[in-house]
Amino acid sequence: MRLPRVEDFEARARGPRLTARVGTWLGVAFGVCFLTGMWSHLQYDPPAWAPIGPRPTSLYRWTQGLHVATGIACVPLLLVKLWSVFPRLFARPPAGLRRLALHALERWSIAVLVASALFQLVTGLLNVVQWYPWSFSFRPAHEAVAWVAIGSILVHVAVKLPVVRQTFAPEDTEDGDGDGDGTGAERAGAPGRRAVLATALGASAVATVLTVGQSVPWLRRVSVLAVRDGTGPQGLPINRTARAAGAVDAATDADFRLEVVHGDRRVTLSRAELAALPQRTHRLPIACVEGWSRSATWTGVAVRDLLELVGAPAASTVRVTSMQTRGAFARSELPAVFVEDHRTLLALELEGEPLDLDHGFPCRIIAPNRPGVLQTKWVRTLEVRA
Amino acid sequence: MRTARLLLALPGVAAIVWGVLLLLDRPDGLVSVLVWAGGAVLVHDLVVAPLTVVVGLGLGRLLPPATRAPTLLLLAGWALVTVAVSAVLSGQGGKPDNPTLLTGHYGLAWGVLSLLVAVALAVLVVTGVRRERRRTSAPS
Repeated sequence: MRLPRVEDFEARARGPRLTARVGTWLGVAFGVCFLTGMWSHLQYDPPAWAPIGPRPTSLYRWTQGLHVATGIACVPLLLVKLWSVFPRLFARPPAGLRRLALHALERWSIAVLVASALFQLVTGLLNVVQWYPWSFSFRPAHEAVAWVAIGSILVHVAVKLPVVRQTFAPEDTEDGDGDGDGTGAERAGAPGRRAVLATALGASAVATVLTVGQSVPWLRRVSVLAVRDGTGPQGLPINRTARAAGAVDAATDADFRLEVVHGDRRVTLSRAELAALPQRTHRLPIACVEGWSRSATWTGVAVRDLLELVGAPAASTVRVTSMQTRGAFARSELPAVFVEDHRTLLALELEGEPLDLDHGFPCRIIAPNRPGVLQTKWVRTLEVRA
Repeated sequence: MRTARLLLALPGVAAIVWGVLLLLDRPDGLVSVLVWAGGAVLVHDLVVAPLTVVVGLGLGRLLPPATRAPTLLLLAGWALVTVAVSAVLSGQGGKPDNPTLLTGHYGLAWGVLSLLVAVALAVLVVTGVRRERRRTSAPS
């Protein structure tokens, strides 16, 4: 037994021409996935410079749907790209200290690139089905490794730029069909480079179409492998039930009172009193960080109308507190730019019926263009931030 | 070229450093992150990649040359799609009290898909073998 050498691998499709082309597609998909992912991370604590507000209403629905879709599309592309360079793993280190050091450095950068890229895809895919077989916290880890991944991609492109340029130059070999270099008899019938590229893109497209129905309603019937089919109580899926959030007792208490607080002014309202206030009805999407989204018709009191009761200006930042006793996001901050918009509701009804307990009964926040986790359910307190 | 490479590499290194700083910010999860990142590489390099080489070589020898390429590619495409959707096929995840997550009949859907691929593969192999026989038995 001996370790294989680069020349031992015989697939004729392998080579820089295939790698550069799959790499380009992968780079674009990964780039979109990175940008949409960072956009999503920004939503949690929007910095002043970020143009995050209630319009466009469906922006987050699109960016996060795109994030998960491009992530899934990356899987076949990354595997084919790794396949196309696998023999290089067995390249023998060069002689000479300087060249050896450069070789080792490049090897390490590629190890970091592959490790971070695989990590992002594996953790992202498992998060979509809410399976967490690890002990790190998903969101910060997925964000941190995203920076490592995009950084090592940039370094990798910088290192390989001369090779990439060469592979995109017109071919001047005798192998005019551009199918690769090997035309020996023993390789007859082996897949060519273009066919492998087409297979990678095809598999990527098929995997995307089979799963993207959770974000694209008209593809729901085709997306037989989508995580969600858009159904649920009152026609809307749930991310966390009232039971899982430990909110059942408080939310179903007949003595429930909503508190609206502004400095030392405080108003308490029962659900009946909330329902007696002027109601607004808006059709708004709910878009989860896990990629699924669906539009629904919500009825309730505009948050800005509630602020009026305690004499707070419409453009106030509001801290929302939930009655949930378990899990993250029991509190959320509603920036002033959302509160100002009359479509930002403390919703009491969904599709003309009182909210289902799992959708946040007795009342929940629904605002345009926000991630689902920040659309706080089972609301107990709205507090104007100083 | 040199400028372009620098313009790519410098922000690249900066992004890596920033990512590492973010990771160090949460030292409690760090070991788990490293295990999963390193583990993914090992699983790929020691299991997935050798497996594709062995399957490719084996089938490459067995299959008739006339349909070798389409057969291998169809099989590869099926395997790639399967890996991409493996999360819903794993039977893991979801929550017992939340029927709106993992709503599909994934085993059935994937089974039908695999059956269609298997039929197509069988047709490819049979026509390939026939063509091969006709070629070798034809009077020269």
